[in-house]
Amino acid sequence: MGLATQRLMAGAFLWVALWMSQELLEGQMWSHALVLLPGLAFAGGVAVSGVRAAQRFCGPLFLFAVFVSLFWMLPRSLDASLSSGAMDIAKFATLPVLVGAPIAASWPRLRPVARGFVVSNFLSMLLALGWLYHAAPVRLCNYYLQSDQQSLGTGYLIIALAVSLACLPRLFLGPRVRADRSGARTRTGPAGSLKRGRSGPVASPLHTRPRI
Amino acid sequence: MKRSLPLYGLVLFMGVALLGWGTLGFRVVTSEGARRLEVQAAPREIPQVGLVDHEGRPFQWEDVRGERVLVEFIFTTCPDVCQKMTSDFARLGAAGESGPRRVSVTFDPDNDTVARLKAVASTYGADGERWRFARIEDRDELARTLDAFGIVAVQAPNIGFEHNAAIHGLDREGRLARIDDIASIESIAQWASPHSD
Repeated sequence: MGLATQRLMAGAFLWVALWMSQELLEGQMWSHALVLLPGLAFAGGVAVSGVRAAQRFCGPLFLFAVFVSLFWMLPRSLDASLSSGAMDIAKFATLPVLVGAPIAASWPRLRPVARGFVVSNFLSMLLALGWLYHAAPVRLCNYYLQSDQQSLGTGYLIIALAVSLACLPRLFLGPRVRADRSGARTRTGPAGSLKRGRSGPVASPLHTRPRI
Repeated sequence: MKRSLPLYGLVLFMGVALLGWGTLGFRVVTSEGARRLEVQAAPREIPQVGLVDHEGRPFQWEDVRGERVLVEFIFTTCPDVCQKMTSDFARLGAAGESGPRRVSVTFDPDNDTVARLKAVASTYGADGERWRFARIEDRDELARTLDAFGIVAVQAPNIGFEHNAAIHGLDREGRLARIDDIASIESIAQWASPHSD
């Protein structure tokens, strides 16, 4: 069995596991929003991991995935997936296929600036949503208790904090990209020692990929 | 980048269309907001079911048709929002006015027996004609009614239920035509007043 098939099987297995624990995960708002929805997207990503979209499709693919994930973040959509069978099936189908898979296929080829932009926006959105869910005096979902909503808000805030902390070392301690006099870029370590990019000599600024 | 521009345009168009569809044209983000807009745009038929009022008299929605009716969904042991709504209902018929026709339906018939409803009705001064408290005994009929109105009651520890609360207005044909927030009962009360046209 080839590696691609194994990955596809792993994604499918995860999808089935989520399908079978649907009732458990949809029982609380936090597990619905923080385990089931990202889990479904993750299953799609695992299934196509290793596949790389052609460069010119990466941006549009990623943007498309962002729109679909925004749709599933609407409280109305979360409610609808509980009250309507069709929306429930749509959730299980679109999150892996239209969110997870396109992100996995396009993320590695996005420009570093684009990735940084995405991560920072993701963090600020998590913080805003977390605060809103934590503090809103009204219920946003008809199917969940207000206390459920507050737990989810706390969950969002914790994740935002954890991701921010995880990014800190890379942002402030990692290798720097610096232009020397000739205009070519070299990567230098924290102590100023010259280092080369992992793929050998750097041909053009566009090909440097400092990890974010 | 230049070659991707048409693709970006297409994705942007599809994405905005998807979000527009999900928010009824960028007007709502919650299902509660959506149900209010939906009945306003297209009044909704409600199922004919067997109700029993607080005097133990059976009736149907058909029997209160002909004038506009205000409907609320409550459970009588509610510590909070039902009391506010029901007090507002009481205020509409106070001071010798007949007030709009009102029906307060419980979604907790296990607890809210006819005797219990009668006690609550007398506390609030419901006369049994302009204002009735009611229960729907058949579980299936109750579920269909809640579904048609868009009411979701979730069991909650200590307080019994958490539920979406609003004032519902049936038009003269008995269709659900309006859903207003409990914070502003005046406008829908005016709409349902026997003197309105």
